[in-house]
Amino acid sequence: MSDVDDKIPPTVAEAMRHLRPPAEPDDEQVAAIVGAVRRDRRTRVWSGVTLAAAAALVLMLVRPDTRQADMPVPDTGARSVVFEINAPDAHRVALVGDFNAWDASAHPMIASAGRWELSVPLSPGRYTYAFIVDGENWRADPAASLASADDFSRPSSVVVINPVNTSMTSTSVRQ
Amino acid sequence: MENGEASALIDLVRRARSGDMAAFTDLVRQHHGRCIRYAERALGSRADAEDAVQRAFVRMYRALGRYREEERFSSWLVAIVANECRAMRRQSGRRLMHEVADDDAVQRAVADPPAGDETVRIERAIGRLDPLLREAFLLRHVEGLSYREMERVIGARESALKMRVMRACEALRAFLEER
Amino acid sequence: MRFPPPLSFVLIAALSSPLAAQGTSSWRPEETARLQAVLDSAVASSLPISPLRFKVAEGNVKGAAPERVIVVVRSLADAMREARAILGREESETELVSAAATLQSGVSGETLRSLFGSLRIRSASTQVFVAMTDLTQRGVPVSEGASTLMQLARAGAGAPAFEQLRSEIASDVSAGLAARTAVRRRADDYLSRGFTPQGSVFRSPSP
Repeated sequence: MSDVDDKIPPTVAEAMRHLRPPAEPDDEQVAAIVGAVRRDRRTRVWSGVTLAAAAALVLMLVRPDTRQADMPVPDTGARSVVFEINAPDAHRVALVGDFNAWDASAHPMIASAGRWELSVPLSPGRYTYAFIVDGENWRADPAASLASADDFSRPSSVVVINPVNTSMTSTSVRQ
Repeated sequence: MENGEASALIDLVRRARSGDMAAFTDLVRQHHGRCIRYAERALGSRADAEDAVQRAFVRMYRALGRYREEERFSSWLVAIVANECRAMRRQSGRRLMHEVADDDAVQRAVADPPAGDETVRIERAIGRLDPLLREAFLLRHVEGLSYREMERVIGARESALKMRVMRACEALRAFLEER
Repeated sequence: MRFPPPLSFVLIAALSSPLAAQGTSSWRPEETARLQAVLDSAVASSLPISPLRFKVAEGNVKGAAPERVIVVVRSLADAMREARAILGREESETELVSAAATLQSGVSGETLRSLFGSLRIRSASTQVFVAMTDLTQRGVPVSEGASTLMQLARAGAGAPAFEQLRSEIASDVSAGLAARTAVRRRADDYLSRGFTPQGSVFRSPSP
């Protein structure tokens, strides 16, 4: 096995014995991490419920008696998608798109050192979306595909979630 | 890792995956220190390391559903931390090439807790490596990832990674032999 | 009709959601009727309705006038009909909507048909349509964009390759490169590296 072949020079190997060991667990940081995960979970659960409600709402307004089967609702097969954008001067950023009936209150994004991000469960499909910065500045996702720019004179992006395999299209998704 | 330890770890992972936050907290406690060390060396700053590691753990939690038990958990986690460190460097606009950990930062890092001369020397030498070489060296010889595991983090072919590790070792030897 | 329990939640959402203020409830009756006619016609053609409903919501939130919303929805429905005629009845909704967007971006039906026909990997269709729309929106002449994508398709590019292309061009453009230059360079690079059986670009050795 090729991994066995790479040797460390003796002086280096000797010096490495003095490398600092792993740090002791820092209670404060561990608590901060667990807290961040809990908040992240709440956001994702909430977005699932809000999405279903918003979908039902659009249905009521446009065609009260059409089958709801046409509406995509998060179900098994949904994947968590991370949306992110740089907006260091923003006070708030909302994620809007087909998956939340363009409701600016459904998916407030989370700030982290000038970058805003949010994880959203999406079933396979094609979604147009955009970011609204401070309630009035519409921005597309610079790393994603452009949607038809002319539809409503505001920028939008497109994300496609593929069924079956794990690939996805567009969005600056990490990992 | 002993068999008993391994199965205790898998048990924790499974419980965390199913939403048991106490199990997840234990996982964090067990791996946090190692992740911090990697990130500190990779980024050259304790504060940045804490940010990167926190994000990595959040992403790890989201990705637990995709973790396959035949993979080594610690390698899988370090891969996420390494990716987070890379993302952080890109995002802050720093160039990946030609940037070396600030010597003062290394000094501060090894001051807490106070470290002996030999420790300062090796940590400082690692800090002086080119970031790409440093990353490859840390993943291979400190974190113990296989080249296959490293390929997934770095996305370069094994031959290129071996070259980087070799060059890192040569550079470290030269630094350490300076007096 | 299925509501998420509890029902009161939906009513609360209805009252507090901006859609309540900006939805079609504020339209004049004749405007609502015209929109309904477009949707009914789409239903009758067995077109998927959710993309059209999403367009309505999008237009309302973006503050578009009802007339504009109706025009856009009708245009999308027409594009979906044309796309369906080109792709055939087995297409998925995602594929159909992506193809419709490509037509709406200014690509002709004939070009779409050629693009579709050049794919060696059928499952790459959605991604190649997304890439085509993207290039056109970025100002790459349609004939140039289409011929490049077809060249890649015939060489074995699949969904991962087209997505990688789109994403790398986005980075190149952000870094200041012209889209036309970016697409040519990336395509030449991929063609020199070749594609795996799954349609990904082979990774090249790095320094």
